[in-house]
Amino acid sequence: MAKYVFSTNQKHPLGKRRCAFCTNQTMEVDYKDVKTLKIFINGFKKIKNRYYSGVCLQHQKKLARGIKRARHVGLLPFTN
Amino acid sequence: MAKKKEAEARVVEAENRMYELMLVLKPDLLESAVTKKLKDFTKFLKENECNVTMEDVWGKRTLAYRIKQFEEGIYVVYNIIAPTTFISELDNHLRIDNEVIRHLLISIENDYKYSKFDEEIEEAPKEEKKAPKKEISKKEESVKEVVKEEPVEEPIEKKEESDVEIPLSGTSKEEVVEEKKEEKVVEEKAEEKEEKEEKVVEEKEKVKEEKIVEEKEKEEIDRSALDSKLDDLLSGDDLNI
Repeated sequence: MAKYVFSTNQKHPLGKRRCAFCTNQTMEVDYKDVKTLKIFINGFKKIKNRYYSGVCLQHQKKLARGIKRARHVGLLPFTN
Repeated sequence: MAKKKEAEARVVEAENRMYELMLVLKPDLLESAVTKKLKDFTKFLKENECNVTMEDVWGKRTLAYRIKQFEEGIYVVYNIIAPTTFISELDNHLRIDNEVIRHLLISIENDYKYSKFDEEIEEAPKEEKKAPKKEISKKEESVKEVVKEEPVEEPIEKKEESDVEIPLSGTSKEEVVEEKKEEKVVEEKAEEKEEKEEKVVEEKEKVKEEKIVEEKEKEEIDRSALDSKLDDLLSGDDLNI
């Protein structure tokens, strides 16, 4: 797996924000990929808002599903 | 009516689909027990007309939270092609199984490719922690060598320097520890050398004392010999004088 850099989209204005998954099209949301899922998790281990992570709606839904699956199996914690 | 019957038949017909199965086994199981368990499980799958395309054993991992009082789990991932009618049965079978803590059954698209994801973040810092310890040991050795070669007075100066340096420079904890260790080594060596010197001095003094005693004894012996001779001479009858 190549390393992908997820930019914090907050610097850019709302119109110029790009989804991290749409820009690297080889990426897919997988519940086993804990490394990338951790980026979209809060300090309290909650799923980050789309406003802060800059992910598009389709990928946000897939992300939420992936994180919930990882939590069920014990790869990610529910709370801090 | 005919259409309805056809529709029912379609529903009942077993359709093959791709599924991904993740199992979390108990951490208490031995390796032989795990292999046996997995063999039995694959047998059970094949009996029910399942096709196991991929099997991957991750091994022991720490869980993110406690599950059934266990803090670790053995992860196993399967990719199977199974008939849709069998899935509910499989789910029930896994739920009843005591050796399986958790399981996840997901349907996958046909062009799905399994890929491994390694966690390199946890392994990297451990190596960094190990590295400075070796350096410390090397430094200690070098310090020991220096102390052996040089006389006793110089390390005492070193001590003073190190004492001055610690409060002034805001060094990190590791460096402080290193300096302290060096101090200890130097102090120990200095004490040993001092002791040795004292011993040498004592020995020399002892030797001197012994020599003095011997000389005194010799003098006494000579005196006594002379006295005895005198007595002999005096006691003797044949005096020429």
